Amino acid sequence: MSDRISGLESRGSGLDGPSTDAALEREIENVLSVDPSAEFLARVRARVSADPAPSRATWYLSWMAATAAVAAAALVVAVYVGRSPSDTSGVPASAATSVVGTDPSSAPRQTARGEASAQLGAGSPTADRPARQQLRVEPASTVPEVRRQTFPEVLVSAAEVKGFETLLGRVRRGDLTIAIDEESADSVEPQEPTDLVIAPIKIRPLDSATVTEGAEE
Amino acid sequence: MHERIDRLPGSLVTSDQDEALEREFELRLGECSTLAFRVAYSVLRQREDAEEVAQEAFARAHRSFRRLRDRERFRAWLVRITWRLALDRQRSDRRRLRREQVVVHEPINDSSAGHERAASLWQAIDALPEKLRLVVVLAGIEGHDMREVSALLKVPEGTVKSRLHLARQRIREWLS
Repeated sequence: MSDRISGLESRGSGLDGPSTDAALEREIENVLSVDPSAEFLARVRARVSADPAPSRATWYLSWMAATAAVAAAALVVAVYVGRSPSDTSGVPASAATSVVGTDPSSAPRQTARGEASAQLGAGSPTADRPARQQLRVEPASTVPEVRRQTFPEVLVSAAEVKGFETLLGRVRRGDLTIAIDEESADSVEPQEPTDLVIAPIKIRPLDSATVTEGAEE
Repeated sequence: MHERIDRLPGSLVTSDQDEALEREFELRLGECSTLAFRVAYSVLRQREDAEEVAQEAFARAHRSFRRLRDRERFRAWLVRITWRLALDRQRSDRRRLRREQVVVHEPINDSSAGHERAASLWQAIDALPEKLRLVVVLAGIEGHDMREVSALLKVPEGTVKSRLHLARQRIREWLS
């Protein structure tokens, strides 16, 4: 109590107010010197008893639960962030129609070379072999993200899809028999690509070009 | 000490460490019960309300007592809990009274020199900003000195001194 609060002298006092800080302090102490009722301590003890402190075991359990929750949240975030956007095709998600193969073995990875070969063989009878592959048409927005990674989307116009489905339906029902004319098939067989020969470019020496320009001037 | 533990029959005493914690809390409870009550009373001015708030403060302190690393800080911790709870209670009471449009005259401490004088003093204290009010109240409870108020509020002694001076100046102005 070396630095007693009442030590400060009042700088100014009102007409009715206390003249010193000590007097004011005494007044404040008086109005604050209210003791709780006799039963107060017993009631506090009863209240504390009714609201027991967590024991060491529950304390650790709560910490374990909190840690597990945080770990689960971190895992979810890691999985979400870990999805590389490059895995999905470059086709915008808002594409009108997407065709998803259900047979993983018959669903090759979609690459530029694959697209080119598909276009080359589009007119051949061998190109009709995917008829064995079941095709399902879904709106692009309803395709789950994981499946989109496994089976890349291929854009096909709605009319082609409808025609292809009609064809498949008729083949299944037996309304249509596909006969392949081997001769025409051979004739349609694409030719082996020949080497493209490009003549080397000849460049005139720089000196002669300068001379020529000067001569023209 | 063991007798005191027996007074808390509902406590979950599961190990020696838990038992020691309960004993320590019981000791703190005995030391600080009046302090908590007076802090609550300085805000609420109702004995019953102040006791309820102090009880709630002790219950919360008991719940988190294990987490308190520096047990010597218990008094300051309890004062802050009680002060916050009392302010919350005061705000909710005022909202309720405003809804019910009931004018309630706060009871005046019978131990003061006169009712009017005490009422004026309380009005002056209530008119102070929260920081000044808390300093004045803590300085007026149990004869705390500057160092103790500084420790309770975790502010430098110089800050306590200046706040107290300013608070007294405003109270005097109000009373005059």
